[in-house]
Amino acid sequence: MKKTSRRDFLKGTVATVIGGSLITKVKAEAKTVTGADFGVEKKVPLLCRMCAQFCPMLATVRDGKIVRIEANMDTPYGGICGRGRSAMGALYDPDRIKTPLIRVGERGEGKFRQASWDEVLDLVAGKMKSIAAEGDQKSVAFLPRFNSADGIDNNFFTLYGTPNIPGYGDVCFANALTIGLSAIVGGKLASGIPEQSTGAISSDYENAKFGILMQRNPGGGLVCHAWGSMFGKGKKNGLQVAVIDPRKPSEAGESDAQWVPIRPGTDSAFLLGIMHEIFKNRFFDVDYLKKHTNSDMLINVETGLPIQTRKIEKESKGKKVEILDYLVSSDGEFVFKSEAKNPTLFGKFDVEIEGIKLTCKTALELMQDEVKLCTPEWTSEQTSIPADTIVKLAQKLNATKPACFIDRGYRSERYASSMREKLLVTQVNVLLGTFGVKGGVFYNRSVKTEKYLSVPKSTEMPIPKWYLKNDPNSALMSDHYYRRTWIKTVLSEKPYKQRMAVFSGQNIVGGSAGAGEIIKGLKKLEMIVAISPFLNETIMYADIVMPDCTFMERDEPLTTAFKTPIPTIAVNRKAIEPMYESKDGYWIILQLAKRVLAPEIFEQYFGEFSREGIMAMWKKQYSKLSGINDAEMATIPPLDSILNGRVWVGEKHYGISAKGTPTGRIELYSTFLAQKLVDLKALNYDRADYASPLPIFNKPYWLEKKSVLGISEFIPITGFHPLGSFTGQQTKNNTLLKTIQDSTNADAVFINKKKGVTLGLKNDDIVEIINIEKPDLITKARVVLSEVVHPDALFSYYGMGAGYYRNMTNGLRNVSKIGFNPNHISNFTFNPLTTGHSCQDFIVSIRKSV
Amino acid sequence: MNSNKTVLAYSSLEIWFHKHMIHFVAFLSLSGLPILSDKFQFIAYGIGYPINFFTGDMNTEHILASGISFLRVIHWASAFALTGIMIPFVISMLRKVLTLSIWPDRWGAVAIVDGVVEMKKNYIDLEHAEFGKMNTGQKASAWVIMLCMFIIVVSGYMLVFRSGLTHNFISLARGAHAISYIILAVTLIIHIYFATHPANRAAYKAMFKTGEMDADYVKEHHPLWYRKLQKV
Amino acid sequence: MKEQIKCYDTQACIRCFACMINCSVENRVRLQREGIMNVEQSVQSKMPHFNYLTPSRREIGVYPNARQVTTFNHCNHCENSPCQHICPTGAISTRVGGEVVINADICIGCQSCGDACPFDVPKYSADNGKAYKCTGCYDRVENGLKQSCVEACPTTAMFSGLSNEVIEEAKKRASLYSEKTGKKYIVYGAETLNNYVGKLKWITIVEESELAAYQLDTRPERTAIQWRDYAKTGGGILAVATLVGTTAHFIYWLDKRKKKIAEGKGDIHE
Repeated sequence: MKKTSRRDFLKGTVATVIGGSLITKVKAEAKTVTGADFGVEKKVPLLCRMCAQFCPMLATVRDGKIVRIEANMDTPYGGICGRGRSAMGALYDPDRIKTPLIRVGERGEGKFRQASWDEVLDLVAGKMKSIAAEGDQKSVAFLPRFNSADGIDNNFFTLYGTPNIPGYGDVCFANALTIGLSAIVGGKLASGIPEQSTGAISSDYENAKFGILMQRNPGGGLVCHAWGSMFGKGKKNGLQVAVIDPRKPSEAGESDAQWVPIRPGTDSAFLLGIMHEIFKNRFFDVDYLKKHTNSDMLINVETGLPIQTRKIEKESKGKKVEILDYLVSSDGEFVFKSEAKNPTLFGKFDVEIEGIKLTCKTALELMQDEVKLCTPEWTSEQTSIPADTIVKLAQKLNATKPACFIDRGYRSERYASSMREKLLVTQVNVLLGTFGVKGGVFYNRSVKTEKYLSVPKSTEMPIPKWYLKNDPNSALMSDHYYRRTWIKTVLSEKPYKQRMAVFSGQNIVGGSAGAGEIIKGLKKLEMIVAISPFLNETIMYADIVMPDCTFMERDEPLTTAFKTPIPTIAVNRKAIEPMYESKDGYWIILQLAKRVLAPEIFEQYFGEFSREGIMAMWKKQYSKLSGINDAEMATIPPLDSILNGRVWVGEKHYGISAKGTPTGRIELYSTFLAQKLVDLKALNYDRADYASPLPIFNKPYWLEKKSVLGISEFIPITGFHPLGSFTGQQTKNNTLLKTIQDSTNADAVFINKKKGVTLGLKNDDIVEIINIEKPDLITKARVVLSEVVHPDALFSYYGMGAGYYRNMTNGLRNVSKIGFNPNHISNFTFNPLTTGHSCQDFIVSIRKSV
Repeated sequence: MNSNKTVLAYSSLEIWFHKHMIHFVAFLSLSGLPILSDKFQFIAYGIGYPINFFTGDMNTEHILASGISFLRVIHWASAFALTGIMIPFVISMLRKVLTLSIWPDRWGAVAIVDGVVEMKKNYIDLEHAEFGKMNTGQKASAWVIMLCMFIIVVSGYMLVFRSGLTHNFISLARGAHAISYIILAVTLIIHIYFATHPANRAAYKAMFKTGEMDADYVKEHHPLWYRKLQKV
Repeated sequence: MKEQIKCYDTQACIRCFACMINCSVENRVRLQREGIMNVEQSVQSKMPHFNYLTPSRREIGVYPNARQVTTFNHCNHCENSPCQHICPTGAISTRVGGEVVINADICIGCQSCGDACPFDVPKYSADNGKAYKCTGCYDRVENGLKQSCVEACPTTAMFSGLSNEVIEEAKKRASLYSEKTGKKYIVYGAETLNNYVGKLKWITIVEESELAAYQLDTRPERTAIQWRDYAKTGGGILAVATLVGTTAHFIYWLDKRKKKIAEGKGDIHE
C-alpha cells in the first residue's frame, strides 16, 4: 500500500483553490432575475450541529448539493445563527478526512496512510474480539458525542460487554450546573445524585424586565433556538440587562447593557453580596418562600440537618408519593410542616427532642446569619465590583421582581467554586420568588419518545461507581459524564486497566483541561480509534481514523432534547449522500457489530435496523410519546409530516414544582447537601464545605494560591465567538466564516489595555503565554489591548486558537497557526465533588515574544 | 507707416505648443464632457453606437458605457500627451519667467482700474488703448487658465493613479477637476472669441503662422509693449 | 410592487453576524446560478468582497466605563442616491423596490460612485475593474423573498417591508426603548437627512446620544461632489451667458465700427 503523509492525502481529490481571476466573470448584478433562476429546489429538514444544539433548519438542495441554509420557522422560537448558515462550509470543507486512515508515525505526529474500510473495520473488530477473548471487555471505552449513531452505538458497546461509555459533560456542565439546580429543586436520581438537564430551565427573557447575566450570553453564544431568539425578543420588549463578566460581551448589548467587570472566579462572592442586600433590606418574597420552599425548616445548628423529620404520603397528580415532613415553629409551637398553620421563617429556638435539648434555627435564619458578613464592602474586596453597584443591582432586582432573573449560565465547569456559583444563582432566584414565575426563570417542557432498543447491562462495575464510592473528591460526580476521570483511570489503572478507546466525535485533547496528562494517558492505550469528519488534536494520537459524515449527510432519530420552553419534536434528514469515502455512524457501528458480535446476538438486536434502516427506529420512537398533555397529544401530526420537516411544538407552562426533592418543596436549604456535608465531614474530607447547603464563599483554586496577581499574570477566561463553537473544525476551518472571524480578532487574546501598556505591549504584538505551574508549555498568540477586559483576565474565544498541541493545523487551511487554547496548558485538576474540569482556574503569565 | 519692420510675438515653441494644446483641449473636452454631465451624453452615444454595432452588442443599455469607455481612453491618452508636450513648454517659459508679459506692469487697485478703463477704450469705444503685449483682461485670463490647468492636471493624475487614496480625498480631486474645467471652459470661450475676432487678425496670424507682428501695428495697438521693446 | 425598506435595531441585535454570513452565502448562490462556480468552489473561496455587510468594531470609553461598539457597514439605498446621480454610464439605477443597484455590465469602473457616496459604500474590484456594493437582494425581493440579511436575523433586529409599515414599527420600538430606558431612541434615516442623500432605505433604531458611536452620520456629505454639481449648473449658465455676451459684443462691435467708419474715423485696424 502506498504510504502518504497526512498532508498529502489532504491535498487529494477536490483540493482546488479558486483564484481571484474567476471573479472577473461576475455577470450583471442588476439583470432581471425571475423565479426560474432560483432553480428546482428541495428543502430538507436539518438539526444543526455546528455547535451541538440541534436548532431546526432547512437546507436548500439543488442538483444534489446544499446551496443555502435557513431557519426552520415552524416553531415560535425558530432562528439559527451564522454558524448554522455556514454549514455548507463545513460540509464541503476540502480538509475533511476523506478515507479511513492508519497511523504510520508516532502517536501525536499525525502521519497516516490511507486504508480501505474493510482493513480498518477488521483491525478494530479484531482487537475488540481479542480483548473479549480475554474477558477484559471493561478495558474498552466508547466516548461518543454529537449522536454519531444515537440509539445504536451505546447499545453495541454495552452488548459487547463494557460498562464504560464516558460522556463529555464533565468538561461542560457536569456536575456543577446539574447540582446547582437539582440540589434545590430536585431531580431524577442517578447513583443517588439528583439530576437536571442543562436545558431544564430558561430565563424568561421575553417577559422579564431586568436580568443579570453571568457566564453566558444568550445572544451570540450557543443555543440560538431558543435562547438566542428569546433573548433578542426580550431585548425588543425592552429587557434591561446587567452583565457580570470579566470581559464585556457585545452579544448582550453594546450601549444598552450595563457591564459590571468582575475578578475571574469570584461570581459566588458577588451573589453573596446580592443575597446580603436581599436579607438586609428584606427584598425576599415572603409569600413565595412560605408557600413553595423549606425556608421555615428547623435546622440543628450543630449538624446542619433538619431537627426532626418523618415520612408521609402525599397526593401528587393522582399518584401517592412519599415525602419528608419536617419540624417547623408555628405560632410558638413546634409542629410538622404538614400540620403547621403559620410557620415562622426566622428564629432561633431551643427544642427538646426525645429528651435531648437542641438548639435550632429556621433555614432562612441560618442563611441570613451566614451572609451577615458578606457586606457590599466585603463583596467589593473579593470581586473588585464597587459596593454601591452591588447595592443598586439588588435594588433593581427588588424593583422588578418577580419579572427578573439571574441567568443560570452554561458550561459551568470553570473554577473550583463553580458549583457554589450555580447553587447561589438558584438560591437568589428562589429568594426573589422568580422561580417558575412569568418574567423569572421557569422549567422548559419536553416530550419523550419511545426508546428504540434496550440491551442487557454489563455486569462489570463502571468506573464512576468506583470513584463515587472511594473518592470523596468525586462524591457528587456524574455517573455518565466522566471522560477526565476516565483518563485518571487510564493513568492510575484504578479500579482497573484501560486498553482501548473508541472516540466518536469527542476531542478529548483539545476540549479538556490538562491536555498534557490526557496525552500521557492516551499513549498508554493499546489501541485508539477515532471516528470524525474533521481533524482535531485527538485524531493526531489515534491509531485508526474512520471518516464520519456530518449531520447533513445522514438520517437521525427523532429529536426532542431542545432547550425550549415548549415540548418540541423534530428530525434531522439526510440532505445529500456522504461525501468522499465517509460513512454515517450507523453504518460504521453496524459493520463493527457484525464483525464483533455473535450472529444471533446481532440478529436479535440489530437485525431489524440493518434491514429496515432508521425508519424502524422512527416508527418505534413515535409509537409512544409521553410528558405532554391530552390537548397537546391531539395535535400530534402523522410521522410523515415530521419526517418532511414539520416541527411539532406544544405549550409553554409556568409553574412551580420541585421535581423530586425529599420534602417535595423547593429546598432553599438543600437537605441533600446537608446530608452530604455530614457524610464528607465524617470522612475528614478537607473540602467538605464545598457541599454546604448554606450560602458560603468557596474560593477558586487560583485565589487560594495568590490573592493578588503579579503584573504579568492573568486568569485565562474564555467565551464563545458568535461564529465559533467548541474545538471542532466545523466552524474553525470554515471558509464561509473566515472573513468575519478575522475582522473580529477571533484568534487573538484580549487583555486590559492599561495593564498591557505597562507590560510594554501594543496591539497585534505576539505574546508567549505560559501556565505558571507548567512553564515549559509555551503558546504564542496575538494580543489585543482592550478597554473591556478586567485587568486580571486574559480573554480568548473558546476553541479558536491553535493552542500548544497545534500540529493538526498543518492540515487545516483556515485555522490560525497561533492562538491560545487554555485546555492545552491547564492543570489536570478536578473541581471538588463534581469532578468538572477547572479549565480557567489557573494562573498564566505572558511576555512579549521576541 | 509701413516700415516692414516686424516684432517677434511668439516663438516657434509657443506656436507649436499652442497648436497642439488646441487639439488636446478639444479632445479632452469632447471626451470629458459626457463624463461630467449627461447633457453631453450624445457625444458618447455617437461613439458608442458604431462600436456596439461592429462588436455586435445589440443591448441599447450598453451603448453609453461603450462610448464612455472609449472616450475615457481618449481622455487619458490626450491627457498624457498634453502633459508630455507641456514639459518643454513649461521649462522654456520658466527660463524666461520674469520677462513674460503675464506680470502686471503696475501693481495695485488703481492699476487694475486703469487697466479696465483701457480695455473699455479698446473693446467698447473701439479706440486705441494703452496696452502692453497683453492687456489686463488677457493677463487675468492667463492666470486663470494656468491655475485651472495646473489643478486639472494634478487632480487628473490623482484620479487615474488613485490607489491608496481614500474616496473622500479623491472626491476633492474629482470636484476640483470638474470645477476648474468649468471655469477654464468659460474662460476659453472668451479667449477664443477675442482670438478669432476680426480686429485681432494680426495676433491671430502671428500665433498660427509667422509668430511675427508688424512693428507699426504693435506701436499703434500695443504702445506699452512697443516702448518696452524700444528700450531693450 | 412598492418600495421596500430595511430597518436595523441596535437594541434587539445580538451581534451574531448571521446576517453577514448569509449575505456572503447568497452571493455565492448567485455565482452558482450564473454558472461561474460550483457549490464546492464557491464555499471554498474566501471572497471577502462578497460580504456586502461588514462589521467594524471600536471601543469607546476607558475601563471600567467602556464599551465596544459594532458598526454595520452597508449601503443605505439613499432616496437621492448620489452614486446613481454621478454615474456617467447609467450603470446605477433604482429598482422598483427601491434598491439602488450597480449593473456590472454597464459599469466601467470609474469609481465616481465611491467618490460620491458619503457612506463610503461602493467598492472597486481590481479583479474585474468594476464597482460593487449591496444589491439590496433585489432579485430575492422582486421574487417575493426577504433580503438575505433580513431573512437570517434570528431576533428580528433586522426587518423589512413597505416603507410606511417599517417606519411605523421602528418608531414604535424606539418609543418603547425610550420609555423603558429613560434615554431617547430615534429612527435614523426615516426622515430626510439632507438634500444630498434624502431619506434612507436602510434605517436604524439607535439611542440618539449613540449616533456618533455607531458612526451614523446625520449630515452625510461629500462637499466637493456637491460643489461639482453647483458648478455644473453655474457653469452651464455662465457658458451660455458668455456666448450671448460675446455674440452681443460682436454685433455691437460691427455696428460701432460701421458708425465710426461713417464718421470718417476709419482708423479701425483691419
